[in-house]
Amino acid sequence: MKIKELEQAVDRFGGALGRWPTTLRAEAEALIANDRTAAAIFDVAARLDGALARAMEPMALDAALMGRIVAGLDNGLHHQVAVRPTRRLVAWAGAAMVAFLVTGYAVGLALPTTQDDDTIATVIFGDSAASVDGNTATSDSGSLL
Amino acid sequence: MSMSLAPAAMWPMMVSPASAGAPPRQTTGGPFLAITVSAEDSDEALALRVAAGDNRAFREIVRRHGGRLRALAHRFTGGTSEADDIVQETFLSFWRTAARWQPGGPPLGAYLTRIAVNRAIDGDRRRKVRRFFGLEDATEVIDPQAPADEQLGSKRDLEAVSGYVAALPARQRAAILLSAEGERPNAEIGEAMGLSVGAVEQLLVRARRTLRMRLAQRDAGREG
Repeated sequence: MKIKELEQAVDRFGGALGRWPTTLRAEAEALIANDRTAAAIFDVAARLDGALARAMEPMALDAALMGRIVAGLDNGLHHQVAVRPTRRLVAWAGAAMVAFLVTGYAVGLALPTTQDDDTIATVIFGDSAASVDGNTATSDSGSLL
Repeated sequence: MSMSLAPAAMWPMMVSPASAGAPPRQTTGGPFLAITVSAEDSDEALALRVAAGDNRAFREIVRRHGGRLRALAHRFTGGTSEADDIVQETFLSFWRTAARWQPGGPPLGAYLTRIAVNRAIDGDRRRKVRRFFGLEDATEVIDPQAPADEQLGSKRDLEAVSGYVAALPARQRAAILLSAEGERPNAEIGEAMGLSVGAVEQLLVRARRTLRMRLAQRDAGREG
């Protein structure tokens, strides 16, 4: 085992050799015993583990916090089913959005690209709405009525 | 499930010291029976009672898991007052959604941890947004630089590591803290964080490397 490999193993398995795979453990022990750099690396890793373990020791749950939590129940936060967006809801919403976009794009492609008022009126209102008594429903100025 | 049924008249005598002085609480069992909470009741039994709206079972769950979750929140937030908010929100969320937890699934502790981690990461994200828009000052991360002649002790290691942990990215922070809590297996951490085991391993390797390097740099600074 080399120093680099020791560092990788330390980062992966931590600073307690008991949690290491047996094969790596023997090699690491030999390296640590004979190399000061390796020993220093392992010492830091072990101290790190110790500090983290102490950091995560349960803290006291004082009466103030307990009272605050229970008060949350009394302050209108009654037992109820929380409505939270689930992954499925988000997936459905995303799919619907994509479907709307694709549909809009398809409709956009299907529409005639014309500026002619009669054609636009026909598309929007149909044949009957586009003309009145056989005449196109346009004003004198030519705009759609 | 070890629940004991007792007449409601005996209720005042059965109030535990931890709950003395608390506001009146709802109990299950109807007008004539009150169901007491015992320290021997399993988490599963208590959770089922919480799902039915039993305040006393809820308090017992808070008592059992509150200290652990408070330590997690405290270390995650770097010791800010937000830690207690996370703990409160976690338990209130559990109160509202207790019916979702099913016996036979993840243990109640893991379920609560998952809620707490999600709350903590969400809070961290919101805090970053607020800081980005200048709505909140950056939290000062503790980074103690001890005098060179002071002997390195475990307490100073704890202070230094706590500061370094608070500066990690949120997911790395959550993973390394969960890992440190009782040597929790990576699969369980993945369950709590909603990640695969491989993703957890990557987070842990990055976090450990960062923390180890910073601790080593600190040592080198003290020696130099």
